[in-house]
Amino acid sequence: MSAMASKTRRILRIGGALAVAILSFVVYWHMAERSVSRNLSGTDLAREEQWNSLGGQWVADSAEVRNSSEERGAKFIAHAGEWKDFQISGDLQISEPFGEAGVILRSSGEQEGVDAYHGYFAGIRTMDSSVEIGRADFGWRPLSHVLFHAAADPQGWFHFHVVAVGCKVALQVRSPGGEVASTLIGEDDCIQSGGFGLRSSYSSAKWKNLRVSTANQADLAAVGANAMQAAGAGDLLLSEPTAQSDVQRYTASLREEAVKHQTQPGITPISSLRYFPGRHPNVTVQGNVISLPPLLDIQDNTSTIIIPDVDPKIPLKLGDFVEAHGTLVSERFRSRLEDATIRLLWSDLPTPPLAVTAAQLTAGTYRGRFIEIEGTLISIHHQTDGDELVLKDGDQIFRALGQVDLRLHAASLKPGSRLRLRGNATALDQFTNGIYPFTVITDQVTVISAPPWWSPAHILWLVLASFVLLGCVQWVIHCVQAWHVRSLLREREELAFEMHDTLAQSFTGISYQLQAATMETRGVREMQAHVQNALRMVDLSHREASRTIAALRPQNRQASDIVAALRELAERLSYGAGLIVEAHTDGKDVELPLALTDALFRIGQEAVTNAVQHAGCTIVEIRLQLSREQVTFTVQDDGKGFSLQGQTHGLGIAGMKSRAAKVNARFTVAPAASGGTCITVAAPLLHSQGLLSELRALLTTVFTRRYLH
Amino acid sequence: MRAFGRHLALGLLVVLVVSTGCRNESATVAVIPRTTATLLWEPMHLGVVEAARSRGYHIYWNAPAEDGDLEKQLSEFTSCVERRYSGIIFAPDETVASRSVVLDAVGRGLPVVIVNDQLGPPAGRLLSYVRNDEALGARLAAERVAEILHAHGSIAIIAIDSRNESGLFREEEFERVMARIAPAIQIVHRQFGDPIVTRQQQIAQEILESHKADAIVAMTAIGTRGAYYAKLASKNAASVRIVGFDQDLISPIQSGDVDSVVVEDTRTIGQIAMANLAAEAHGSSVKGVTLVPPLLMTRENMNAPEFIRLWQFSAYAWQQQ
Repeated sequence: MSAMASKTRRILRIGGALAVAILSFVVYWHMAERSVSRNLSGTDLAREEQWNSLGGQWVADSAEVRNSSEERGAKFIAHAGEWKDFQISGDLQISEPFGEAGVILRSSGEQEGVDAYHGYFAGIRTMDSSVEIGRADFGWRPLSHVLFHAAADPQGWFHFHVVAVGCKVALQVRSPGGEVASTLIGEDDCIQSGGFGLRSSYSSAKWKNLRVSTANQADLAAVGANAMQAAGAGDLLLSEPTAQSDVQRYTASLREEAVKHQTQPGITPISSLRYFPGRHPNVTVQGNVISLPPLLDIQDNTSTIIIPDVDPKIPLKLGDFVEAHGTLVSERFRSRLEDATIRLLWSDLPTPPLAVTAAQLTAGTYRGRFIEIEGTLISIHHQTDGDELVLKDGDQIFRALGQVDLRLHAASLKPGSRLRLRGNATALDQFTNGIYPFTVITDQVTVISAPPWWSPAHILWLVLASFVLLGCVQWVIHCVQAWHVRSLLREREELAFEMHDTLAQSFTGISYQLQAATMETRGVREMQAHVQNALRMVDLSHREASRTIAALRPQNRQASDIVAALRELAERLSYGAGLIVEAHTDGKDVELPLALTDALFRIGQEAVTNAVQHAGCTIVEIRLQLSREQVTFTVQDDGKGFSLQGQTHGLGIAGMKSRAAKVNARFTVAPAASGGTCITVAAPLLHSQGLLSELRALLTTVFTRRYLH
Repeated sequence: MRAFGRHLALGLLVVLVVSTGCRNESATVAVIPRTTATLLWEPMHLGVVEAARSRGYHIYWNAPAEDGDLEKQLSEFTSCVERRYSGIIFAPDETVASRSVVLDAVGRGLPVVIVNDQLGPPAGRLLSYVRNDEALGARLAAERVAEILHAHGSIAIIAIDSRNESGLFREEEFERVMARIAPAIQIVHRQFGDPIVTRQQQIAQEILESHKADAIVAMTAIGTRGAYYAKLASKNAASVRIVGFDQDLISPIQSGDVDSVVVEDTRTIGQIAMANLAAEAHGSSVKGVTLVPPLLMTRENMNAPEFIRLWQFSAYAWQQQ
């Protein structure tokens, strides 16, 4: 029956899991279908949070999406889920004559890097006025490349329409001049679904009127109907054309790019400015931005120049190529351009920094250059217009100021940290305050390593913790010693009871016999009998003393041994008096804990001695009842009984009570049914008691040897 | 007891699945060149993948979008070390700054093959070098300059790569060979470079406008492109010859605007680097430093098979890497 129920439960569990899985799949399929059936345009794509930027400088608003960087393979991936068969259309403008831009389809696994994604790219190339479809899998494989018949105006707006249905992708592009180029590709091992995004290379670019919607075969046919003959596979090996006419067009684009970027007449090389001391109005320089306001710094191929007091709100970024026109102030081989007007010519890539040391900067060699420097943070001060850092590198202490767009997590910077700063160094007094040899205006701070653990604060805490730990250890040792002293005192007390219960009792018996001998009047024979008894008792006492010593280290702790030993004792004490001794052990004979064995034996010894010597009894019954949880020990006689009141404080009763208490036993003295006295000890039997006792003995031994000897 | 058996079996299954996952991850090699999607580095991509496929490895290939982006390259390297690939093939963008991360990776037991740089630490059980034979490349360029200038005239050297030990060695070796084979040719201008094409163009423009050199020798691909752009934009510079290093644009060679370029055989470099890495991963010893001879590409030989084989990366189906 139980097996049947178990089987039923298992079937129900499997059925439930299958139902949940099917339900999940249906919900997923339904959601996926819903996402595919969506149409996205206008405000759907106007918010930056709907996109993930991977390289480049992207901005999205209601009017357009634009990338102002020339970084190769800059991507802007939409957070729009999985798409299968869909189409994207829009208008695209590419700023540079040598550039390309377009859309990414069915993408996944996107990372920063030129071809770092899985998916298709359909785009426009201004360098040879062509359209292209290819596939990226962290490596680029061109699938189709079609040229416009006439060179297209790269500054105009291209209208594009790309459709992906099944394993086919079609692209149609209308140039600013109205010419249409289209191409169609098909793959057997195609990517079936994925996200979408925008991508550009070598040029800044703008997209507008973007629309994304589901597509079908009719859409694909409409766009791919007039697909043009694509280049052969051999011609796709290189991204450059090989036919002579195409090469000329390609070269023309390159020339246009080159002419745009060449140094214009009337532009002064920056390095020459320092040789003209004084103030010189109407000076024009050009260069890449290597440091942003408040200390704008531009660098050409000869040197750099600082342009102070530039409005921080001018939209500049590192790498931008600008023209600055203003008044040159050159003094003490330091030049700056004052009252300058700034004109952005084009965006370029940021200049990589030079790695320098503080000593090199102090010497002035690299001052004004875009540099990277390391230093140990001494302090950080938060200001309304940014953070101020004081650092040390070698013997040099210098200052760093965060630029307006510095995203510095000040809370993560701790004094003692090793930092790497990227920026521009200046010795102008307005930045150094006349205190530091130079100040780095930084746009990026990186923590290389956290402060070392052996900082003064940490060492102080370590010392304090050591003291506390030492105190704790001392306290524990003190407790152990106190505990051991208490144990010794308890042992002394037990020995006192022991002496009373054994030697003192024996001496009483001997004294009693010898006294009887001196008082014997019946004759020599009876007197000798008393003396013989006394001698026998001396012998017994000696043996008992030996047994007592042995009892301190008993080797046999069976319950029945206690009863047998007490029976022998009673018979010995009452020798010749005709006392009947009855001894019983009820229950399973087990080995009792050492402390309990000792307590029961001593209590029994006292009780039997009292019964023989004081009760005047004829029968003594000794009984030990053993159960799983408890042991009950009884000594009962039929004597005259005794007054509890008179004996409560006597050493015998007190000793028995004390022994019983030590083993958590209940001790009672009551009149027996036969008129005598009944002493009962009921002790709990704890299974772990033996182990604890042995552990305690072991600890006592160890601590005694270690600390007291 | 039965429940315990079930739990044990489930635990073993989980361990099996997890360990299988680790093994898959460990069979992937990370390759980090200075940048990607260029004629210089994509042949190496192809070479690595060819060698990896025959040995049962997968490839993770990525690098900064632009040359000179040291920060992103080191970040990529560190990330690959943390992801516990079975090895890394690395072309450092900057020699000195890359030393510590490479030594750290080797210290963690990760095999590393350095491509196209003399990083500094000697080759060992987990570290080897495969690089372009810069001495031979410098000789090819020097001989070409001597030939086109008939061993007389003046040259300007631009775009000297000061961030890279191989770049400095390339320039020093070029000057040494020039002095030996064509002592009458004067070097009238030397300038360090950076990865900004516009700046290299403006440097070359200044040289062209000053008419002080008969030829420009550009020590990097970006420098070569900058010199080419300057020549394109100039009206009176047709007679100035350009000899460059490292393949970039092909059409300027075809048109004759760039006389010649010393082309690195990065496909072979990639093949050897991957073979070395696989051997290091299996505890085998490899040659500490392997030099791969470069080729001089001119308009006359640019369609030779040894060059065409370099551009075949475009036909490769990268989803299989």
